[in-house]
Amino acid sequence: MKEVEINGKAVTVVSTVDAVGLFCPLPVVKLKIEMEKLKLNEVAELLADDGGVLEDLPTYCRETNQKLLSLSKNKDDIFVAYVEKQRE
Amino acid sequence: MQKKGLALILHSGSYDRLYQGMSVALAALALGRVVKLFFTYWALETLRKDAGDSLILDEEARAHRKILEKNLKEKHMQKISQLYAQAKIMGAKFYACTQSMGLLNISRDELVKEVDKSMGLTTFLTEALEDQLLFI
Repeated sequence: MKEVEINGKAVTVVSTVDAVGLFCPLPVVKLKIEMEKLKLNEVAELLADDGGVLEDLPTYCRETNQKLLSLSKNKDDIFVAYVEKQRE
Repeated sequence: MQKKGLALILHSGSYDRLYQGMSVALAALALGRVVKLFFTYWALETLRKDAGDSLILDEEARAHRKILEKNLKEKHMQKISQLYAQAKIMGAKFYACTQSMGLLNISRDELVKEVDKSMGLTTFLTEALEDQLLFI
C-alpha cells in the first residue's frame, strides 16, 4: 500500500501490477486479474511499456465500468496508470 | 446488456498461432466477455498432460524461431501453459474435440485439468450460436 498524488488529491494505492516488458494484451489482462481481488473504490497501479495501453486501458475501463484516474508516462518512459474499482 | 461471447476453434499447435489465439481470448476475457475455446488436432495435442512447453512452430513460423525464442526468454511473451492458466483463472471454458481425441488416440485422462469437457462440433456450435466465432 502507498500514497500517491493524482490531480492534487492524495490517493491510496492498494496494489501494483508490474507489466513492464509484457506485450499487448497482457498488461490489461494482468490488471483485470488484479482488479478482481480489489474491493470497491480501491485503486490499483499499472506499470507498462507496451504502447498498446494508451488506447487499450481507457477502452478496458470504459467497457468494464472501472474508473481511470490517470495515465501518464514517467521519466523512465514507463506508462503509469491508476484505476479505481467501481464495479465487481 | 450481456456482451457478445467469443468462441475460438483452436486448430494449430504452432506457438505463434496459439499465442495470438489466446491473446484474443484473454483480451475478450478482460473486457468481461464469455470465452469458449474448442481445441482440435494439433492445438489439442498441447493440452496433453505430458505436452510440456517446447516451442512448436509450423513452417511459416519456423523462419522466425530466433525472434520468438528471444522474446520468450526475456519474458515479453508468455509460454502457452501460462496463457492457458490465465484464461482459466479468468473463466474461459476449455473444450476438447472428441473427433480429434479419437484421431490422435487421446483419452480424457491424458488431458490437463483445465479441460472442462469434451464434445463434438454440433454441440460446440450450438453452445456458441450467439457468439463471435473464430478459427485459428
